[in-house]
Amino acid sequence: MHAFQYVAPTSLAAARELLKDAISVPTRVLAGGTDLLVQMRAGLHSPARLLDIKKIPETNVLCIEAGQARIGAAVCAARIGEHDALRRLCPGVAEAIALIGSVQVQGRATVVGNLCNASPAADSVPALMAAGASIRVIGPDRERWLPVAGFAVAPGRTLLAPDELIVELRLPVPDAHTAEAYQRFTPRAEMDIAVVGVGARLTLDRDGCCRAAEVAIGAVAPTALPAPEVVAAILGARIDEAALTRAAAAAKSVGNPISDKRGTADFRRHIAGVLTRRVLRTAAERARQRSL
Amino acid sequence: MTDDKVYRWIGSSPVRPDGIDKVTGHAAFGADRLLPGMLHGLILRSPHAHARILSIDTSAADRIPGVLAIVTGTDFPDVTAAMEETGESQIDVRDLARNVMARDKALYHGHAVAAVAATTTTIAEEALRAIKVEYEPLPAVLDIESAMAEDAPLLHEELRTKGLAEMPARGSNVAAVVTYTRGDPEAGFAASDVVIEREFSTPTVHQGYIEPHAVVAECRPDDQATVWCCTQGPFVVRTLTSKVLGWDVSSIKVIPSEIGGGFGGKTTIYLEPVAILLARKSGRPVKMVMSREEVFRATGPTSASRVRIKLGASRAGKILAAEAELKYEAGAFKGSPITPGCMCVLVAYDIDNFRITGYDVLVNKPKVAAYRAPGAPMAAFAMESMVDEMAHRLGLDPIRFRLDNAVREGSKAAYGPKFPPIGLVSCLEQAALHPHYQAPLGPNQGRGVAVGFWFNVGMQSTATLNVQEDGTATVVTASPDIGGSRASMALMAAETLGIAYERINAVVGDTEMAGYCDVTGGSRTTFATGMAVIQAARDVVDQMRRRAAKIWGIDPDQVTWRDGQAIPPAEHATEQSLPPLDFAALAKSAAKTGGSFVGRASLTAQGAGAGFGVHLCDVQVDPETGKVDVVRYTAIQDTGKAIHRAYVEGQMQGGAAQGIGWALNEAYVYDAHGIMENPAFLDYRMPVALDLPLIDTVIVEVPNPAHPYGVRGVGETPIVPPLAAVANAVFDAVGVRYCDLPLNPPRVLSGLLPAAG
Amino acid sequence: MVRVVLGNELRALAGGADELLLAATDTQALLAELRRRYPALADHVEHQSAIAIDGLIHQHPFAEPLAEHSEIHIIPRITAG
Repeated sequence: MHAFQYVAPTSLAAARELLKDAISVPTRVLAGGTDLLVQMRAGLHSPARLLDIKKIPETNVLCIEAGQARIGAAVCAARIGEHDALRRLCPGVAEAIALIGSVQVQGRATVVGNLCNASPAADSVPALMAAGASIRVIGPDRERWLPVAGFAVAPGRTLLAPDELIVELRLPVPDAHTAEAYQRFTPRAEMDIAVVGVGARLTLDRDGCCRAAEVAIGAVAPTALPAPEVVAAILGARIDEAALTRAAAAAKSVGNPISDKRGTADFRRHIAGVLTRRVLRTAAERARQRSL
Repeated sequence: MTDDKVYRWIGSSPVRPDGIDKVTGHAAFGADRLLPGMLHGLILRSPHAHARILSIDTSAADRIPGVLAIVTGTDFPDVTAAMEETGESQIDVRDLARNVMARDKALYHGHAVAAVAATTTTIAEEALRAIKVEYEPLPAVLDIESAMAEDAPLLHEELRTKGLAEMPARGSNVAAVVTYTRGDPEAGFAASDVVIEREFSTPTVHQGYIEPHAVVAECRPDDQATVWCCTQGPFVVRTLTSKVLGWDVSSIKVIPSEIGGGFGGKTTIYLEPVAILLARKSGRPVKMVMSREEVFRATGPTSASRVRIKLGASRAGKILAAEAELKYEAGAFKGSPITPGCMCVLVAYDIDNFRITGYDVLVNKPKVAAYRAPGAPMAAFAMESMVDEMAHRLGLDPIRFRLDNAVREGSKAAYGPKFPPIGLVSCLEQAALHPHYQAPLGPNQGRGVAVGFWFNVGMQSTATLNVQEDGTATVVTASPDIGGSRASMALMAAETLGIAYERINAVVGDTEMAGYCDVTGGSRTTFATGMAVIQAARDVVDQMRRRAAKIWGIDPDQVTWRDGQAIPPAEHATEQSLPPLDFAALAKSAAKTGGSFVGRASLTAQGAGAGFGVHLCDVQVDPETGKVDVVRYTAIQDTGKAIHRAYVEGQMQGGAAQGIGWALNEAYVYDAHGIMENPAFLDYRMPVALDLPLIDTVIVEVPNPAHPYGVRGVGETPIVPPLAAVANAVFDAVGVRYCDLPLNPPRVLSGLLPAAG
Repeated sequence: MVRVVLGNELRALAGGADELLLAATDTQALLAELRRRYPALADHVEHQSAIAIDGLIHQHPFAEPLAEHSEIHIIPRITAG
């Protein structure tokens, strides 16, 4: 590996200061490092500086307040898995995050890192999109909020400028009639890349009909995609076998999957249908349970 | 049939002598060695699967500050001698040398073409980029069919097929044809009520040892080299390295590090001669450590295979005839495990009429290396699938059908001789009685049975047993400890000496400090090196009996050894009140009574006992995704006497886990140019712990008459049955007979919903 | 006399015979006898083969004792995995 500078600011202000020359001193942000360090060893990145954000208090926030779940950019997946309220209220996001890497990797890997790695198959992204999550981005002298949906623009590329970093991620906590679920398909139980991942959040009315829904599908296109056609197939309907069959059929047409070493396009389309059916069934069941 | 002898130590499961080192991180593996002034060596590898090397220009790389040595093929002697005895067997040293470093042709993607040593790996990487190699790309042959085609491009123009009636005039990619026949197969098929025939395939798979190849080499000005490396056999590294370099064996000292797995893949050499030459050129020690990608692209794997089997049986359930045609990829140089594949394919069954034909086929892929029961798993996948299908066609229970055809003591093995006592029938009977075989299955679940066999081998081993003055003893051998052999050696020494296991330390020596040992492989270490340890311990007992006799002033023949004590004959014990002298007392007084005790033994172990195993596998198949989950697994094996029970179980579980990986998801994925697309554990999917249930084991102990304690050998047999056990279970679950591995979700789904695959 | 049973792949080295009856009390004597009568077969045995004596495989036999009616099979040496 090449030589590089390592800095670990202890405040957002100090981080901003460092971001000022992040263009002249090519900088990569280091949180868990489970993607970045591997990629640097493989020669995919050779930054002149690593900016470690783990010592900044704001990036270590993990709480639920004012109807929002807040997850700091340096919070590792294992901490989220141990957060009972988050697991209870946002089971789809929590189960997606729990699938990142392996038991060992979870102790380092962060959700925001998973987002920034911008893999089409990132496990947390479809669940975060379905949950309506957004991120707080800071630059040397600016700040903005971006939705997770649309943040990745291509494999390995995001809307983040070279002199920006993410401080935290927020998502609205679902109300009592809303529930979520995420499933991915991999040949192995862990340490694997999703062939397809499906996240869904849906709201049922008193009669069990779908009042609102968000569905997103990963690994069927260069970035995870929202699936309005799946939502259209269930909106206003009871989540029964007929609705699930319509949704599964719609899911197969989402995106434009490729054939590669992890699966053929046809296989991916088929699995998108199977998972969509399973995820919607689980989310609907959870919503019914919550309403009781 | 089991061994009912009562032992004090053998058959227990104590903590291993190297346990503290391993769990505290103190154990030094191949890459842990650091020497002052050490350089880092890297290898430049061919970007083509098949290409003529027109020129190599290293001048720009040479000028980079910090680059201290560069070697290419021309720095190695031109080895002309072909087949050489290497202790274990004959190997083609010219092929070996050209696999270590390409000469005129690169024969696979990843083939070494040059190497550099520099003060840092970053500089070494830069130097690799600065080496200019001019290639003339050649068409590559990437599978058995295209390699055997009439007009196939040839890897080695001079190669002629061996094993044909006449030496062919033309070159070929088929290095050898082997045949075994017995009886009249045509008549056997004609007499059969049911005849079935299918062809099976398995992909290239890697041993997947967790520790990449690593070496540190130091070379003195007088060309005396010292090599630290992770290997299954330091003496074999010394022999092979000396052949490739054209040096005397005595000019190379090999010190084995701890080893993070080998499974056969570390019975050969890749880096050692290169590191020595770089060290010699630079005058500095050189470390070379492969990346995982290099391990996948340029070491190991085992053969991809195609196996066609035709089986005929009577309605009553007797196999009357078999025909097997096996084609194994050798990689870029001859020498797939086709011969053992052919010897094993029908070995579990007593069949009067058969014909077995095997082909050793060269392709532009890395040269295969030994992998746990080399050649047997692919053969067993085909045969055990067919036996399962035949039982199904005949409406017979698969274990009953196997019992009715199984070989037993006195049966003629397919490869010729009659079997001595073997445990196949015992294993099948245990399987039929096991609660697993009776347990009910859930929806989408199925159960498979399969049999496996491996010869196990003997070969050369040496042991020294040094008695210390505090009454402890140190066992020294040069058999690297891969699966807990130090503990097994100490157990056998304790049993033989009659002293406590805790009073024995077992260590692994180097090629100067220990006597000759062949590799830790072939399931031979507990059998053969164990035999040497037992003999060395007996030597000490003998010396102690003599010493006691001298102390007592009686004839040595009057002294007996029991429970770690020299005991005088009864008349002396009472009349002259001579108390027994125990091991510790004799050791303590050794300096005053004639010097310390050193036992030694060197032998070529004969009579390795064949190991049969039977595996039961339950799977659950997701009918919508094609995912196969192994939900219950039981491995039953005749191991002979189990010396350290927990490690015997560990070998059985580990072999089963590797075989399940081979069955379900492991495969080299190649692109059209012969470049492996998945050279990392992320996409080369070995099972992780969460993918497997606890693998239950049943140890059947049919003693091997050739070993003092009845040891057979354990490690290889358990990888043989799982491929078919899983496939047979999938058949039982979904009614589809899959003939091509791996049974990954897309493949399984394509059999269930042909439109979705 | 010991009986050496030859597989089909070795018969050409012994003039087509499928079985040889030889006088030998150990494998060293057996090899000498083979060398006298079938040198090519002796070469093969010495360099490439293991010998099964009454079913027990001897990977590298030197002077292994043979019984009066021992049955000998010449088989390929098995390599280690």
